[in-house]
Amino acid sequence: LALSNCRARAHQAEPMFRNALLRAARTGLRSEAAAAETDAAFATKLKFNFSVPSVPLYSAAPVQMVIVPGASGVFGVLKDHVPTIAAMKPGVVAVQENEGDSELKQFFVSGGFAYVKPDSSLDIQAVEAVPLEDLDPEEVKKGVAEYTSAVASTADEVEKAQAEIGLEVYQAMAAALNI
Amino acid sequence: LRGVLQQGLGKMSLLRGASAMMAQPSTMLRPDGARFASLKALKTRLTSVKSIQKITKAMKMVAASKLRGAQTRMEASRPFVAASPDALKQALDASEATASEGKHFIVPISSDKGLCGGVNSSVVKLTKALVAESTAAGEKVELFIVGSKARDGLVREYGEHLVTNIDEIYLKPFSWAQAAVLAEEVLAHDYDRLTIMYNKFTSVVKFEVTPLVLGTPARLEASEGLAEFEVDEEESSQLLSDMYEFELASRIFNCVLENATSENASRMTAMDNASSNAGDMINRLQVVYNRQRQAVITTELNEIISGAESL
Repeated sequence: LALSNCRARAHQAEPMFRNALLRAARTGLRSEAAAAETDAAFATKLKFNFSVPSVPLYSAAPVQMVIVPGASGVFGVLKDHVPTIAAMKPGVVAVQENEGDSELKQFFVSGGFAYVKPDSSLDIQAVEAVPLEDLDPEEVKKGVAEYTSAVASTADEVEKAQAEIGLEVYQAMAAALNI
Repeated sequence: LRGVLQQGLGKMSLLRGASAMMAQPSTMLRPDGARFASLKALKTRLTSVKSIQKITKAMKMVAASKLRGAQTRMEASRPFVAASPDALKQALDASEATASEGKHFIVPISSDKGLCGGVNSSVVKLTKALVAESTAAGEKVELFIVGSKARDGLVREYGEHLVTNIDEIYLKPFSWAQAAVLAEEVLAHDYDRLTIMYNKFTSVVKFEVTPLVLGTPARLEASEGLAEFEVDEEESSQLLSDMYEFELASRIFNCVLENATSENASRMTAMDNASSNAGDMINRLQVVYNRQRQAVITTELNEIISGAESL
């Protein structure tokens, strides 16, 4: 009895099964097409992920080149860069989105890590990142002055270290803004 | 929820008392005041259950809106946490490591406020089991408790393992900077194994307590996957420990956000259940109240009529 029930159910299910198969085939084809599209985009461009803890700024975006402020020097990343791990110092991440662009999108980052992964995608984890246009030159000048005096005046080691960090960041901002 | 349940139980006994009175009309032959007194008592209970229902409904709305905010923040933070290389994540993952001699550092994450269903009690339960298992295997266990609810649950039995309790981190939206401070505090204790116990948020109805087991920085040095990466010569000695600290801060950030989202989802469900329980109770109390009221009126009428007849 159970076997005949199963067969009856299978007969009933056949049209549904057929539809499901067709649907799966269609989605399969569609996702292949979509994958082909994205693969094409990344054939010549770098896959770029740039995020801060609160929000992803770039998410699997195809870009031409990114300049990263590494702790031991600024370096540029193009497609097919060797897998790298680099700590970032306070500085500017510059993104060239299309080949031949002279305008670079610039973000000031306070620090973090940059990874070029074995699949040649670049991932930047920045603690804070702001578009360079959003920095106020007056505030930056004030910050440099404030932290310079803070470094000179404190004797306590911890406070001095904190003041030096603040000074480094503000000086980097000033350098980025060319002031 | 426990408070509402207790009040509910109190009301149930009143209900039973009221129905018992219905069954024995002879007990109504009491001094006049008693009838109206029980009617008034029922009315008071009814209004109090109604106001409890209003409160739980309001709490559900608040939890729902907080859930939306927490879920958005959590999902926005996921790309950041996912950015680190798989090799790093695999190197740190110590879930297969068996307990051995050494220090096991456990970080249970819980909320500060209650009335949020089972999220905190499930963390406490799993943590207790883990501590028992660890001490049986010969490890030294230390507890770094985030949130007051887990502390309340753990301090009585495992108070001697407690090293730190972090309170009031949910007053403002949890930031990566706060997670970095927590990571620094955790790292100050030299441990051989680190387990973070938190509620992983899958969906509004599904969140499970998950232990996240991490190894020590030494595992990074031993990792072959990480050796494939080019590292600038000058940085290499400091880089691995910096990377470990950064990754730990990111993980703690992620775990706290997920736990906060789970907490709000659980509170929403719990308050929803409490509201519908209160609604059921109101219906039942209303019926009893109506019957009592009708009985009082009938008795009054009978007295009047029999008094008039006797004239």
